[in-house]
Amino acid sequence: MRKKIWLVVALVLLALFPVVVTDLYIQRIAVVSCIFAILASSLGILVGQVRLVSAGHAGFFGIGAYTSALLTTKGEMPFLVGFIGAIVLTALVGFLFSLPVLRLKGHYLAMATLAFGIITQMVLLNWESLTNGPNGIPGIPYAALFFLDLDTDRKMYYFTLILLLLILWGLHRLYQSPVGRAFHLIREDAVAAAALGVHTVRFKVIAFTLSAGLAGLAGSLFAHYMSFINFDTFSPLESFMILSMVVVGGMQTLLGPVLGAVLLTSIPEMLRELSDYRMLIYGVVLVLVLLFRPQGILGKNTRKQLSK
Amino acid sequence: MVIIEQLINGLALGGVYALIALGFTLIFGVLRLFHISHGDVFMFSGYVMVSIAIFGFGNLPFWIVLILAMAIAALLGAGVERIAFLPYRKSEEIIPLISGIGVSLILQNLAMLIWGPGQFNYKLDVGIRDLSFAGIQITGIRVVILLTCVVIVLLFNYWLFRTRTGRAVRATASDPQTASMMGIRPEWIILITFTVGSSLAGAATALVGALYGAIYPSLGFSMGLKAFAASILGGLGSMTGAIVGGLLLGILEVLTASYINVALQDAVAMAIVIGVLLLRPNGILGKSVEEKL
Repeated sequence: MRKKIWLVVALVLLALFPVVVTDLYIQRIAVVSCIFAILASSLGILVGQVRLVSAGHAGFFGIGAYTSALLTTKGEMPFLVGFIGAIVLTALVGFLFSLPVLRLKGHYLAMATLAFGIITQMVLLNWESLTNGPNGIPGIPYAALFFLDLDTDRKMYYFTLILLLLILWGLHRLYQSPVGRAFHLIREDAVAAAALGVHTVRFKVIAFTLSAGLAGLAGSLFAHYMSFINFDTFSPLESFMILSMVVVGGMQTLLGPVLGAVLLTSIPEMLRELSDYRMLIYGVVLVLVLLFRPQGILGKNTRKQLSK
Repeated sequence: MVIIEQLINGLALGGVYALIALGFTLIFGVLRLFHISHGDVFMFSGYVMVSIAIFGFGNLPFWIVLILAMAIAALLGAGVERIAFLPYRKSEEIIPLISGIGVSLILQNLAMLIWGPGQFNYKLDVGIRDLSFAGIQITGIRVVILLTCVVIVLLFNYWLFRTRTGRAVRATASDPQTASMMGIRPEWIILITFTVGSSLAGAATALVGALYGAIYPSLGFSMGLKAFAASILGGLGSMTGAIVGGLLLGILEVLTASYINVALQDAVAMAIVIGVLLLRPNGILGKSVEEKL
């Protein structure tokens, strides 16, 4: 009961936010936070639930962003086609990539995905006939749902917020379903999971495809909100940022990646006056959070941490 | 004759990769940890080395610069270990990985703040003239690089396989628990591993400095990636593998740049990583380890 009250209060606050805070700059940060919250949640499925470390998630993010941007600019399709196209194509890439790569474990998987992210960025940069190379894609139209143009920050805020809440609700259900329990079993002990008849590879492929698709969704939102994208955004550094969001917030929890995304998006903005020191402070924060709360801000204490 | 010159260029470049990869693979062998900020230790000690060697004392002789760079990198590497990895010995492997990313960010941005974001050009004089032999031109710098790499690798080999400390390091790498029962202090060994591994990166930074005479904050990340590709190619945790992998990578890069396309030079490393991980995850020299699932 108490939980429900808090949930309602939180929802009301979130809904009222752009009405109360009319500063466009802060609204903009809120929209970007929502988009990154979706992105971090998508990585949370892999890292937090199944313990597959992807260090190349910016690659999926970028594929989604470019697909949506190209379909709506060069292809002159409506937003929804680009949006769905981005999700489908990114999920497909994630699926195809996961098949050979999921044989790898732990650090090896992290490094294969890191290489995937770097190669994706190289393709975005060098496939000039399709992606305009280093110039990027300008003039991406606003998101629009049938006859409603999402042309203001406030409208976009509600759209991304609703999507985020839907995704979180879906993930919440998923984590409690048999599929989610299979994820957790694989995370805790893959051998035991296999011995109990859990088809580990199948569930890993499901997780990877789902995660990639959601990253593509976030990419599409990002492209249409920013109206300009280029290869620079989808760098290995960005992948590390997303990974940091997940770990800092608390990777095993549903809301951890969201909190991490909001914090790590808004803190650098607040430090804008110190722009030279921004990334330095970011690094220090990362190291300190790990030092004092290795399970993440929202994470629960587990016996695995720190003890010596 | 051009092909022989290019092979030598590739070997020199590969020798540098091999030095960085050796440190990387040594640390991986002992701690099972991808030291993602190894490249940034390389970069940062390069900056410190240049500041001291050129602006502090004027032009020091090359061998002093080399030793200086090794000492700086050793200190920095050991410091990174104490701050970023020591607290997480028992945590899941993703935690030190993220911590390493944090260190990477800190080192890169510190370098940017202190020395500026742009490329920094300087000149290290190695004191050997260019050689010409049977129509083959070799620059003196490449001779120095090759010789230095050979000497360092031999010394490293002697240390790892002939001394008591080296044996303790190998024992810890193969089984930390049993090693500690034999009276080896694992924490001490880990510190030594980082010190030695990072000092190899320091040697590489001096050699790269002599070769290119340029340094910039993101150099560390790209060098780290290449060292990582080299050690994957040779098989992670294998010392011979790191050397062979580094040399192969260097030669492949130089050949790609001159016969296919310069733009593809940096893609070689990533293609190798994906290819090797998919086809032979243990590398060309790695022994196949029994797979858990």
